[in-house]
Amino acid sequence: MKKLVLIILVAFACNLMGIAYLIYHKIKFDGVVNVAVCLPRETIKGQMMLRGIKLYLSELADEHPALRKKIRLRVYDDKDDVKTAMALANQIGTDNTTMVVLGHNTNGAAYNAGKIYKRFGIIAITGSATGIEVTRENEWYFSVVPNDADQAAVMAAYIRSRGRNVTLLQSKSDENVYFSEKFKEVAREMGITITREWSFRSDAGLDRILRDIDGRESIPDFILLNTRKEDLLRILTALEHRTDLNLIGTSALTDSKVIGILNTLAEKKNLPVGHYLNGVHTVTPFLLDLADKRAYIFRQRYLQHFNQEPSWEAACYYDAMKLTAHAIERTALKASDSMLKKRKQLRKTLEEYNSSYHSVNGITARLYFNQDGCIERPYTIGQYVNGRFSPAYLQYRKDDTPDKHVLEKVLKGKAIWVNNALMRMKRIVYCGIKVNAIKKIDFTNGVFTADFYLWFRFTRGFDDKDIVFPDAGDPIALGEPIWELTSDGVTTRVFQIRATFKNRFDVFSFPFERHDLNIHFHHRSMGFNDLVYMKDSWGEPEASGDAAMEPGLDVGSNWRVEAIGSSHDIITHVSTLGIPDNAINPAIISYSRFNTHIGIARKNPFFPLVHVLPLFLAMGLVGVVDYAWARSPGRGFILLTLALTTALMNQVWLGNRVWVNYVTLVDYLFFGFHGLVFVAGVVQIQKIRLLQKDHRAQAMVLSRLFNIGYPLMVIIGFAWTAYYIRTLV
Amino acid sequence: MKKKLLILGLIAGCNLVWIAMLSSSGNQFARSFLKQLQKKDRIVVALAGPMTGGGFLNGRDMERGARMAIQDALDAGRLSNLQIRLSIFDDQNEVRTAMKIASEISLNREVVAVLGHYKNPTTMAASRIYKKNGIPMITGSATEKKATDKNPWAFGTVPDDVDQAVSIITHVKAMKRHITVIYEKDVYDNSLMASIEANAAEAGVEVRYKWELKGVGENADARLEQIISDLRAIHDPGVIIIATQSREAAAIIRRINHPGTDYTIIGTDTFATAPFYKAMTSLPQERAKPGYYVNGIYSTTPFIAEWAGPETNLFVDNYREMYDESPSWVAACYYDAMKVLIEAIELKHINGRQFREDRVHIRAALSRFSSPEEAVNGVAGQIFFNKEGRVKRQFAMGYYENQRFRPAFTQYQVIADEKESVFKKAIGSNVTVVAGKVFSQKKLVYTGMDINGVNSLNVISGEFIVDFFIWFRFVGDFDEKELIFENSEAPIRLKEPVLDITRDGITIRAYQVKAKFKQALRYDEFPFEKHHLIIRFHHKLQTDRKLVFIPDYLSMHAYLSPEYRQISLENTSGWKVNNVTQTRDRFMRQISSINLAYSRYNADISVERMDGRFALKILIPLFSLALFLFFSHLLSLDLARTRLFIIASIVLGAGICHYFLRVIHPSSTIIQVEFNFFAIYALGILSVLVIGVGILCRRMDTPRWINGFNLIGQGIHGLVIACLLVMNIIKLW
Repeated sequence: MKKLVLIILVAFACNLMGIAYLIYHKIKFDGVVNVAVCLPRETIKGQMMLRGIKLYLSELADEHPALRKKIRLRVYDDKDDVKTAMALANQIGTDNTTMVVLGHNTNGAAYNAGKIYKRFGIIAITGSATGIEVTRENEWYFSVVPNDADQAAVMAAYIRSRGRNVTLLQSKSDENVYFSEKFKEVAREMGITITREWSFRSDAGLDRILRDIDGRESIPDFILLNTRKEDLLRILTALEHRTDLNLIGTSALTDSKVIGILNTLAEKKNLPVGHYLNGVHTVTPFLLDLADKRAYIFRQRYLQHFNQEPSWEAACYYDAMKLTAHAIERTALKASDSMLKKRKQLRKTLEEYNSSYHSVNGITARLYFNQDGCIERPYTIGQYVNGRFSPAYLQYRKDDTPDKHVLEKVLKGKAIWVNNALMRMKRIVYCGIKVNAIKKIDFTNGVFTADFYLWFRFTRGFDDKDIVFPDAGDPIALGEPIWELTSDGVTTRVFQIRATFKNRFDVFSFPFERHDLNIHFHHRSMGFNDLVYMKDSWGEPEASGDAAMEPGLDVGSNWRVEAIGSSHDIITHVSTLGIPDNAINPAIISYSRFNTHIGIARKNPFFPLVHVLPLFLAMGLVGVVDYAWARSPGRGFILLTLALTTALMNQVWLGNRVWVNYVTLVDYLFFGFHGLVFVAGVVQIQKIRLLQKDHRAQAMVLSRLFNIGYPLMVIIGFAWTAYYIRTLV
Repeated sequence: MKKKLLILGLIAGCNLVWIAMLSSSGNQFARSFLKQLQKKDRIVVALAGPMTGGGFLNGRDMERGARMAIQDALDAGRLSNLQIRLSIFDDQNEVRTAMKIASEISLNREVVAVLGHYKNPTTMAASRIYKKNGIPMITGSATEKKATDKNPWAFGTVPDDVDQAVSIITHVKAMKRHITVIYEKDVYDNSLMASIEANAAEAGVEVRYKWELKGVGENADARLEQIISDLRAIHDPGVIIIATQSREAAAIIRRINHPGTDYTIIGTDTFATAPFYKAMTSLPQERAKPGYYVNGIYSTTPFIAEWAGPETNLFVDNYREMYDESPSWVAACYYDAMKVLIEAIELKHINGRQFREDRVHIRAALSRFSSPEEAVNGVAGQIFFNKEGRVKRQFAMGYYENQRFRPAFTQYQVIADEKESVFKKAIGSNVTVVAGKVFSQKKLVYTGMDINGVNSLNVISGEFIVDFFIWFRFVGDFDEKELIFENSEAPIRLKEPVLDITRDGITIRAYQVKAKFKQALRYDEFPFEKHHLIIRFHHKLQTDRKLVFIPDYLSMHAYLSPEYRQISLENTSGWKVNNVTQTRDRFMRQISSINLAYSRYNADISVERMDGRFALKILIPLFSLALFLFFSHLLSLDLARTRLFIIASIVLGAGICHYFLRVIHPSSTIIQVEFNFFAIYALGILSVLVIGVGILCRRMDTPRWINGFNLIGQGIHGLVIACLLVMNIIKLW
């Protein structure tokens, strides 16, 4: 009977487990959203794209673990090849388990695979293919990177601000033709004359054109290079000697592969890095330096995770993944619905992101689509300087806020109207600080005096003097510049400043600490949307003296300058500014801030030792208590009392030198010491008691335990302190 | 058995002594315990109002106000021999029920006075019965003049409809020159309408349309629809004044006031009550978009929490803490009614034993509060009754903004009778005359601060730098450049605003300020102290007769979204911002024997130590010393010299630490941590005494005494250390 009951119970339990397993898998299956990622997996660019996606998913796992569990990533390698991309698209479509595709990278792959996605009804979002044709007439394809129309608009505006005419040099592929048509349309609107259009199909044709350009005497204001990447290499190497030509290229010129090949070539010929690129103008869909605080946080996280600077592709695919996750969260997907119905629902949600009010806050911008399923925002335009892309002095930013003075701003040249969107001017000012001397470092009052050169490089119409040094002891007014130069419309001004600054000295690790002396400034009235301060990549102006000269310190100072560095970031304040409607979503007021950090360290390596020597002595005294006690119990206690008072005096002395409102590293050492003294005192008392009861053996054991245990505890304490101090370096 | 009884008796006796001692030191529990033991006289006060039915929220507020007044009196240590019991009666806002209840109360031999009733008709009907039976009645809500007039037993802590009408017309005069009135005769009887008409005519305001809402059931609905249809047909109805019950008022507002319409509507005090608010906010559009219907509606009110003087802050805070919402005018006026009744009870030493005499005495006491000199300070203003048994006070004007009822940007106050025309001329154009009185305009400026950061805090010198946004919301003109920041190190000049916009006639100007402030900081409780960093300012020229700053809670995100409450204070300072509160009070200034009061705005930034372990920095070494002193007791008397050496070293060490602490904190008073030092000095003396007594005993050859004294020394020493430990842990907690 018992056996029967047992068998029934086991069978029942097995059934229950089976049902539970099936239910679990049913639930699990229903909740999962498969997201396919199609990119050139073996290339650096492909890796960056994937890292951007993975970074967002790791953040999502922290913020919204349930949603993260829903999303399953499948990575495919399309090798940037059209045929492979199409084959993958067919595979994904036939499989019928994928809800969204992120990719593809190139216009060709995206356009051709997009046709297949459209046939199967699969949502695709690209963060790198900029072709207008990718999303136009394909309601299933979305783009979080601005397309070539935006690229053409910014390039035309830039050319117009510096000249009147342009020559087009283009290869006759479909992609390039689309872009040229768009550019010509915008150029016409802006009154730019296209003096000539060079087209080629073969390398021979290109060589002929290049010879022709090289031989001509009259040169246009700009030559627009609208070619494939391979052709760009030929053009830039062939025209390397023509520094008088203003070449402007599409975003293909910021491709890491193109830059890598050109730099390798220069290296082989013992030419400086950036030799072929310097002076060439180009655009990029996104530049982290000009983005807001979210982008700075993204950059830091990316660096932490991958130990590498993120590219614009990483940022755009981060946004693509973020947008997808938000749409999935917002869409009520039913398990019983067909895959096509679910995709349609998700697509509807994506289509509803159609204004800044109905958008997702991405790191590149607010993410929402126009009628063509593409995001709209301006490209960043700039020039290669010393092998690095430097943004131009005037940029554009999309303005979503309603403004009754639109026309006035457009007429005054403060804004442009492109593709039904208002693009406002954003000014870039390059600046630098060269520190001449650091004096009177006062740790008690948290101040220091700095003598330094400050320079700005900017185009006309900017008030460089209207700046605020928030940490200056007294307000600093920039007087007359000590040096000024205006060349090609770019003004460089150098000021000399000597002022006292407040500094936050963290003395937690005193006397082992190092400090950063900081000089910050931001513009008084122009917010981050209107002005960005950037570190000057052109180098120091000649008026700032010897570049290699170290800043001087006070004579006899115990400090030495370890490192000097400059950077820019954003300072942000949150306030409603008194608008009741802002109480739920307060206004964010941001300023671009320029920072210079002067790292200082102690000159004298014995300084820390001198400060904690009495403590070490006290520890030594405690260590020999047991030996002193052998002669007289009273001596042992006298030694302990001496050790205690010595440490106490040491602590009082240090506290008097550096009085702070928090517990410091040395305080922790003293806490540990007091613990040890207490243990030693208890051991001594116990020993006396044991001896009074004539338990000599037990007293001996206690004594030995202390003699072994005490040094061990001291060693552990020292090892921990040494390890901690090492982490500070 | 006897022993047990003795022990129990001793324990009980000791406990009583403890409780008595604690009570005398102000311990609440002990005091209430002792009070329980005392025999008290019981006094019953009846509170009659709508406890059920449509107006139950008003009944709820009446009860809350009255109960809070009793509690506040008890907390203040009053009513020591009395126990006031509130007996609640529900009249359901119905006249017949009110009359029945009034008869019942009158016959009740325990009841000495009545608070209520809520509505005008119920109050008038009941007051006649109270008058007949000789029982004093105080209403805090019935505004009809007849409710108290010609009835020596009836009093009102709310001003009457004549004052309400004056307030309405004063504001109308500044808005438009003609009005349309929709009223319910049952609610406001005749005095409000009569006063409105009389004052309007005198002030040159034309009553262009006047519609009475009457009938019941479907007839009433049909009449309402007809009125609304007529109203819509009018091109310019002027200011629409609505004097109806909450339900009808809500029905009218829902039909005529929504985004896109531009009516100017003033409601009577009904609009500022909980039933109206609830009726409006339960509408779907209002829930989807707060303020959809109610935004911009004005209403008279005898009390608004934000507008009431700084003296009422405590009442408002306590009320918010207890009920999680701001007190309505009903709650405030019944608080005042109960308060003045308590004053009367105390004045005449009422004990509830002879109900007829008690009632007569209470009435006589209430009648004595008849001039400002004899007035009781209420939360809605001074309480003293005129010949009609009413408080004489002006109604304030409030308006709805995003579902919050707030004081209107302009208020009026009587400054003189019209006959004093010289005074009027002296004041200038900023005055208006209504009902034979000269009213001056008082501007309200909604002000708020968002603190960005606090830097360079020096608790010794009391200096700190604050970076903050400050904004002003106002109507018309306001010169914010003339502000005086009282404790800023250098004068602060507001320069370029970061925001300057005007929408719907309301201007918002915001500035960013970063400046150094200075104040005396107390650190008696070092190292357990918290500090309050204050930023305060007032206007240089305009006194509080012309200008009042109101904390703009509606626009402060910190009050709405706790996630934004974090304010940066550089962590190297060792302090963190705990909380920021913003209030207003008055700044008094004397110019050649004239006292001038200025409205003052205060931001209080509460900071506390970031590192809770900071105190350990001082306490651990001190405990280490105290323990070593204890160890000295454990050594035998043979080691007396060693023991003395230990004691001397430790007391000296403690003395040096003490000296340096005083150097760092040069306070003139004893600071908290010093008690630990004093304890060590005392323990040092104790240790020396124990040694001395031990040596003496040895000489006297009484070795048992040596151990005894040593044990006593150890016991006292251990007890002192334990007490110090507990004291410091409590402080750290």
